[in-house]
Amino acid sequence: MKKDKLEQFITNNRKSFDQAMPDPAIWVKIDQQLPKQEVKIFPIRRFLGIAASVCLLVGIGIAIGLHLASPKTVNSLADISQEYEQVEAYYTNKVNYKVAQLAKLNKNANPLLQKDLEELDQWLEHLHKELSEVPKSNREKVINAIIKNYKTKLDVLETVLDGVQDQPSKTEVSKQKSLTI
Amino acid sequence: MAYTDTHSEIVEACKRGNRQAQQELYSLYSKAMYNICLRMVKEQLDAEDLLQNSFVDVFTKLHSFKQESTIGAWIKRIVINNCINFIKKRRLDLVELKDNYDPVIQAQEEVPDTALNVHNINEALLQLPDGYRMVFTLYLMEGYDHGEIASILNISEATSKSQYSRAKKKLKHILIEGV
Repeated sequence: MKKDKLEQFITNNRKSFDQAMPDPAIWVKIDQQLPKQEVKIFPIRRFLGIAASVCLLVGIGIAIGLHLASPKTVNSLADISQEYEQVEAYYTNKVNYKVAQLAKLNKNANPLLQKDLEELDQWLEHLHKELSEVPKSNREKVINAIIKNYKTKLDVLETVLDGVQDQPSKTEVSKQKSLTI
Repeated sequence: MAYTDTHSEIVEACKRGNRQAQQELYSLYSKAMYNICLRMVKEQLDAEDLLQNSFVDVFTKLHSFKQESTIGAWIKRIVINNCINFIKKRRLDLVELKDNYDPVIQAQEEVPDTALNVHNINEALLQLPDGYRMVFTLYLMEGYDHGEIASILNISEATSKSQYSRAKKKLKHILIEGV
């Protein structure tokens, strides 16, 4: 239906018909009728939603944590022994090689060196015992101490070897000298 | 309209009972709603009471608002329903909506341009019988169609249409006669 002049006028000027302003006191009355402050209704669905998100976040956190931690720490006893076995085998081999090297070069065992090595061995034994006793979380510390023990042993052996290896050259030189004489 | 989106945050805050958001929603719609009340019930004090009660209703019923319509349309419907209930209680009932043809208005008259202004029309609207005024303003000023008006006022669509055209004739008559 086509709009007539009156309808057209009202439609075109619709906003101008809303000129009256409500008394500001009306809001004050509404405010008084509404429940005081924020109503802390905890809709169960919202609460469950929050709980679910917290669970999810914690889950993700644990997953990430485990993932990041896995290369560094060992999770199972089997892992411990396997990894530990390899490390131990590596160092034992190295130490044995150096000891053999030293024995070949230096027939007269240095008593001071023997004492040091014995002390280190005792300490190593103690660490081995501790490894089987400490809680899982502390194993890494003990393993590190064991590795340090091997490294110290290697350092000592290397130092001594360096000293001994210098000597034969001297003896050889002296031998050569004696030969030339 | 993008209107709905911009207010959804306010609406959600209102649902949680946030007083600042409630005041914001009130300030967004109170003026338009107050003018609806004024046109519907005519008296300023009644309009103020209706505005106040309607917004208390809005905030207490807001949890049932499901974003199917705009918040503005939803609030408007509450305001209009309250106005209609008020008029019914006032006992100026809607009998006239049934069928009392006003013999005064016969010919189709045209309003002279000089009489066509907001003030005159507002004054003329106040002189219309309640039933006429409601149908006329709901249709032309609040944008409801006759089907919607029929359900709001609990009348038939045909009645809404005939009431509208009679209301319009009567309004023109008042405007021509001089307010």
